[in-house]
Amino acid sequence: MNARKDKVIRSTDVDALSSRYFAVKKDYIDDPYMDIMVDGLKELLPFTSNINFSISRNLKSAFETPKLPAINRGTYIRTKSIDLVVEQFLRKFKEEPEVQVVSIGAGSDTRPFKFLSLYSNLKYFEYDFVESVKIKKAIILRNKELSSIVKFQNLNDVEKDFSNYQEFLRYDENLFTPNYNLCPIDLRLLGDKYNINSLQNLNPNIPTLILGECVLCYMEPADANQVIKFFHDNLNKSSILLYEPIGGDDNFGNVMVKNLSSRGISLPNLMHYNTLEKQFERFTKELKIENLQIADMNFVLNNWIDGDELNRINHLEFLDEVEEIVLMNKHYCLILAQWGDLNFKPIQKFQLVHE
Amino acid sequence: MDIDTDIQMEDAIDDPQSTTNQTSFFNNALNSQPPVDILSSDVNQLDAWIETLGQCKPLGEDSVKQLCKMAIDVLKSEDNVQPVSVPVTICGDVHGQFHDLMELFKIGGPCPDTNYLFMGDYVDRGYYSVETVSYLVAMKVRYPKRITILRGNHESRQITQVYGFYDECLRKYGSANVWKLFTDLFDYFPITALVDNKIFCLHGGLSPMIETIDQVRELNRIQEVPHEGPMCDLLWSDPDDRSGWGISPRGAGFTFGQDISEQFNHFNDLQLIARAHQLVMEGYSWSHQEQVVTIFSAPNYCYRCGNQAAIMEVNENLDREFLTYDPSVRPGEPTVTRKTPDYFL
Repeated sequence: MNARKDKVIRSTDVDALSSRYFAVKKDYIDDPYMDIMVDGLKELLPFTSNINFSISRNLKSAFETPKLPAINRGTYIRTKSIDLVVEQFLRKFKEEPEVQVVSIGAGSDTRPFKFLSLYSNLKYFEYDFVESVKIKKAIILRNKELSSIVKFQNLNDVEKDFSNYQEFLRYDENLFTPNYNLCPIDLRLLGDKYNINSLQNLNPNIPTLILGECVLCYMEPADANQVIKFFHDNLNKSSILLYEPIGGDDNFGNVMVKNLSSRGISLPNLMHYNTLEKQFERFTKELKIENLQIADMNFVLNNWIDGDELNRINHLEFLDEVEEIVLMNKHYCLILAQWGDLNFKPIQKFQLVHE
Repeated sequence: MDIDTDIQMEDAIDDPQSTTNQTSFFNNALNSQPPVDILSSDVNQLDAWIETLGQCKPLGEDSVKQLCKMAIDVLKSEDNVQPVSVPVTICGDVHGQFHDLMELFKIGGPCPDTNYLFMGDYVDRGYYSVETVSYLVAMKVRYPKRITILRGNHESRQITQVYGFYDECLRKYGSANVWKLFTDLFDYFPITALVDNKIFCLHGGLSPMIETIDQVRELNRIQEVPHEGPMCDLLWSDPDDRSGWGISPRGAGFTFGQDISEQFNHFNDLQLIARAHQLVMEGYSWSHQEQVVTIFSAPNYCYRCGNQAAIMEVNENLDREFLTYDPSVRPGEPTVTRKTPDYFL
């Protein structure tokens, strides 16, 4: 694996977090854990490298330059729509003794804290690169509220985390608590280096929702499909919810590939599965997962958000980028696939449905 | 400031056809005023500025101050409905994409050999708003009869503070002085133009408070773009598939249907409304059964959208031809220092 490329992919977490940070600041979304996460990342991320000048500079600029209204709106619908599906999943299975959410490429997502505080039968799993995992673990253990949400019991006995690169390298990377499992997994090695037993505490027989937000898009199509296949093969009643960019059949995708390659980010899936229909065939034909629902983010925005809420967000800030939002939302989609005896039927409508 | 005390420009006087239908008192009064002449020392100064700007180099603050002062003298005497004669090439949003503006002049022919009408939105979003608006204003002052520059919704104090021009001025000049000079100048830009009395050109679209072109002439335009009312609508509205007036998703202006466009064009004896304001992937787009055309002249808008750009040539017989173009290749431009546009990652 190419370390520099991996580092660039990890840097996309700063994009995602800073986008959510400004969407929270502008009242699009509510997130009581945002400041803890941002402050923690600002403090700890520079220690993950022995050359931290550029990291500090990029971080500073990421959290000091407000996002334009179109990005805030897109971040809103991304965050809100995933929350809506997760909520329904957890509500459907709230009488079960246990239910699992597995977040792949979780990064600095604060969703575990939100849902763990609401659902006592929930076990949350977060997998990411080792650097991201160490930072998140340190942020959680430094904060009483987060430690308590994840039921970390030995608060008086917390190992010292890190304040330089050497200490960072030595820092233990796993966090296992009664309801929360944070560990480093290179997703590209699922089914290869890792089998289902390597995913500690994960129960293959209970309802499980796998979440992937802009994660598989950075992998080669074969690697990305292997990730889905791994969970499909190993979990017996499970659903996967993906938020992914799609290149489209206009020029948007080509420009996106070019722009992001200037940051060293490659998106091998973007043009490979560039339309909703191609994504649809990917699941039904290549992966043989029949129960599938897909919608682009314009459809989601227009069909999932009620009038009052839409009116609220439309009045949060003045916006001149109406056509750009439509163009961007057209190039991102939600994919909900499921298998086994799950029978999860969210009330939200999708564009393409296959059962 | 009241525009009817001002002096009419040469270009309107040169073109008797363009004023024949204008019967309101102050237009006739204006036509009796002597034209403005540019001093030859000013011509030399302007040519030097244009040369500097043509290399995408910003002017010094003092020069901007001088330029804006000269531009106010030119623009304040233009009409709210600036008459424009054919042939003319009509252009939409540019948004600080300086190199693409140079491409536009390559595609459309150099100014002043070709007459141009720009329908606003010179600043914000692109990386070279300062150079772009300075260049167009310098061209306007140098060739007032050859180029018309209308006001877009981004030529405003409020919008430029959100979408980049303000920050760019701070970055390039170390203070907001140049931003202040330009936004004060924007107040003088005409808000609409009438090409050969047949094509009504403006940045946004129609207003429920405007039924006739004469009503536009009666507006006091020398002010910041208001949040509502007819002047706001002209710079913010969009055509829509739904008939009648609708609430705009932009939070300013309205959407207007084909019925509204047909009625307006019929009542004002117009062939066409040409407007900009909306990103259209092919660079131009017809609506309302060719009653309205949208022209967008910023290719790969915001370096992200992947769209084509277009300009519309109108010849002596009012025949129209669209020229489309892609982003210019930018030799030697330091692309690495440019921030990658935001995506959801």
